[in-house]
Amino acid sequence: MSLYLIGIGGTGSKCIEAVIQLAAIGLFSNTPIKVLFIDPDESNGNLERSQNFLKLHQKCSEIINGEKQSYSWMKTPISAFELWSPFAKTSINKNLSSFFNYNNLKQNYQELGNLFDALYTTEERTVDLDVGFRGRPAIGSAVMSQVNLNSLDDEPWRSLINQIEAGMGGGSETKILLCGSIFGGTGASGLPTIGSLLANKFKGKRDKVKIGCLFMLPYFGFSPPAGEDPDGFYAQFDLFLLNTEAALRYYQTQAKEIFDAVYLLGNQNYTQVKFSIGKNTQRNDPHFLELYGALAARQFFLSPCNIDRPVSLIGRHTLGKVTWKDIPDRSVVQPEIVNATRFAYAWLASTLPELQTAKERGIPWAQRNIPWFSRFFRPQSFMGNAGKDLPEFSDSKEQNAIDIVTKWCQQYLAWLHSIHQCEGEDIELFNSNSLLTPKIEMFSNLVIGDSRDKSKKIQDTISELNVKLISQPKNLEEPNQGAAGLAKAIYILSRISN
Amino acid sequence: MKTIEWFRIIAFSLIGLVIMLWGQPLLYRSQFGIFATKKIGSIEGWIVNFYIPGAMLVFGVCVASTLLWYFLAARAQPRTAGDRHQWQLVWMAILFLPVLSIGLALYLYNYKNEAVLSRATLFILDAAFLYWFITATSSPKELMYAPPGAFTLRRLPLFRD
Repeated sequence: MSLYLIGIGGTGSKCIEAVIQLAAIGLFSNTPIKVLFIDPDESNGNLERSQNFLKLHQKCSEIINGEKQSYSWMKTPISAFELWSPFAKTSINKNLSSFFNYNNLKQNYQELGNLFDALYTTEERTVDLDVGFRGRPAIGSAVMSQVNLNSLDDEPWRSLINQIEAGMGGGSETKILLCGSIFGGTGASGLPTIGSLLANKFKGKRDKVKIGCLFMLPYFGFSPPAGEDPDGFYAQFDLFLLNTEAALRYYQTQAKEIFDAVYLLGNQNYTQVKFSIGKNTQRNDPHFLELYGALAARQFFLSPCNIDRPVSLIGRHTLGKVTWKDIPDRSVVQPEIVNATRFAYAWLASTLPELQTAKERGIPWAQRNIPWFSRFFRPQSFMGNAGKDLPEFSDSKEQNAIDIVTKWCQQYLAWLHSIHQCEGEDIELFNSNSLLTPKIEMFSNLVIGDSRDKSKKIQDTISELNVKLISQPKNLEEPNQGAAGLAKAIYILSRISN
Repeated sequence: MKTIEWFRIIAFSLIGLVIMLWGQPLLYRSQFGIFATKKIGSIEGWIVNFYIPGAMLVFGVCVASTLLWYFLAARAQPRTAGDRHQWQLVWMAILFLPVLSIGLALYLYNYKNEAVLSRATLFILDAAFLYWFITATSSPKELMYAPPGAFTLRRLPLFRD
């Protein structure tokens, strides 16, 4: 099977970010996911953050390679096509007039020029679009529809289509999921347009190519700062619902045949985000709805499409609250999220400080005061050859691996912390207060609704985990040495056993 | 508290007891080298009245020190490498008890100042075995490397858990 994930616009990038997080913690399969980012705003903050997460995921996957039977961390390879922007080839005048050669139209094809005038105001024609489509799907649709999936002149489309066709030739099923907001500019215009182009391209082969769509309905809002023209040319919160209604109507009347599965996610309570027209300042914190977006992607990629019920909806038990009971496929999802969170927490609260101390005080001191140290790093001993095959702690490769695992843990916990911070929402998954500054004593009480009995919780300490680490897990397969072996062992030992 | 650690503590303590009560008196009975005595008339009487009580004192204090260390270490919850390092000081502090017991044994059970050097040597070796060796091979895992030399000993196949 081949899996493709296309994120359109800032919200699309954020959904990809959530998918990367869940893929990293083993909630997807071993099948690689290929990601394509689409955004005219190439320096968008949300996009940049997702791309950084992806790079970190790839680096971490390289370190934690090897068998994946005993643990699920980093089991899904994720690769990316190069970012596609409709203005990639345009260095100046990134506006609608230039894109459609408006002056030429007016001079040589006057009827078309006049039609253009009728469809777009002067401001819409001339406004700079390198910050995105400014909440105007009408502009975005025109630009996006110029993608030519038949001539395949441009990357990344050439690679994308070639790879899909190669996969189909091999007889495997292909699943393509598009995700983005339906209420803004880029996502609202790109989702149906790109979806339609792909559906046309694979017409007659839809038994092998399933196309899904994740529509994010309005879930955040913003107010322009004082001094900003309220009628300025940027995405306006007041228009979100109107845009959504129009986009859903478009889906209902014209785009129904495009998608084999449609996921709709929204929230009554709009989280306030900082106003930004685009570029690097458009960097909104992760939202719990994006976790649901990633779980929707998981369902699409792992389960067969239900032709009779293409639209998936999900609700929660109590308005304003999200608990483990509200998480779909809880029996699988919760243990994996809890496992990864406990690992990242233990690494940052205990393992990393120990390794830093080891670096400062030297190997002899470390091997005497950190009991698990000599299981993973080469000891300094005058008797016997035990551990002589282990890597040197000071080796730059080991230090780099420690650094990458640490960054992964930090960004994962920061992401998890952010999804707990949604304004007006009570997210009851983890005790999030210490996620950004993990504390050893909070380890056993991380999970909200932890039903283990008291005696088990008392024993569930990082000290106990460190003791186990001296000799467990037994028969640890590769990677079982150095920082990678250490991280893998902690990941396995962090799982709460039933 | 692990069974293997307890087993080692009990087994090594019994070995120590046998060495002190049976093996070392043999050395005095043989009158070999530094164990030869001139001022002591009855060697058997001296062993029963002076050597054995001193040896029992050293043995008792050493075993008590070992158990004290074990219980403290088993209950310890060091959070960081720095905390574990502090426990080495605790081990050193407890070491003072066996050292004191040797001094007391030599002082209290002294007869005509003879065999002081040989007894001191034997008691030091006994204390090293009963306190250092046993704690170095049998400390709870969290502080398994705290006694000096434990890192080397615990990595030998015999003492690897």
